[in-house]
Amino acid sequence: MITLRFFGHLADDAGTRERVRPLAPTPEAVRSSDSTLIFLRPGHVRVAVNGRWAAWDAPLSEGDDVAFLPPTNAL
Amino acid sequence: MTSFLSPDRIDVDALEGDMRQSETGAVVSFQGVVRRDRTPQGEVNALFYEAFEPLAEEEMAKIIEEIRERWPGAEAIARHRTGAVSVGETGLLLVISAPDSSQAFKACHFALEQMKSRVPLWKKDLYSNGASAWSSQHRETLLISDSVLTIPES
Repeated sequence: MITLRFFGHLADDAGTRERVRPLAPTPEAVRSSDSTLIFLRPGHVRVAVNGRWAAWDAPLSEGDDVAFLPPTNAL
Repeated sequence: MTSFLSPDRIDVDALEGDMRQSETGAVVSFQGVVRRDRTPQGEVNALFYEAFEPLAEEEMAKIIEEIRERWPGAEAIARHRTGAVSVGETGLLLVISAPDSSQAFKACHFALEQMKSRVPLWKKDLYSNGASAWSSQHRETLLISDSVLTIPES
């Protein structure tokens, strides 16, 4: 299993701040295999895996923490 | 090491004082202050700041290190609130010290621009009527660029 975490307005779009789901090969595979995640757009949303920036095609492992981060808007 | 992020009030005077050094000819201080906006959703009486803390701390530390490299002799500190921050309070404090004013202003501008693109931080408007909404600036960008998305409810 992996944990998905949504920040900023993405948590509203997802209807939750955190979701646990079965392992998928990459963050892109997570997005494309789940129609409820259509709001995650790779050109717009950034990804972090286990607290580090990651690419949408980065390999995921069992137990990973995958964060979806919208563009900064606090400044 | 002191954190960039904290839910606590920022002690502006103490931090500015910390940046005064004998080699310093200029200290530039920038404060981001929560203002009372009036929007179609309501009157803003606070902002709620959320951060992805591991990367926000790491990116801010890198930006400060880049300032030291670009402007030798310069030093910087930055503090950003998380959680609810009321109108009139300081949400962000950035203090730059440098040998002269030109370097200090340039470094301050550099830090702000870098923070906008690199530090994962988001703000939500908290209205006096109890409603809330994420920053309209970002939402408008989304709506213009993707017709699939619908206008968020406040």
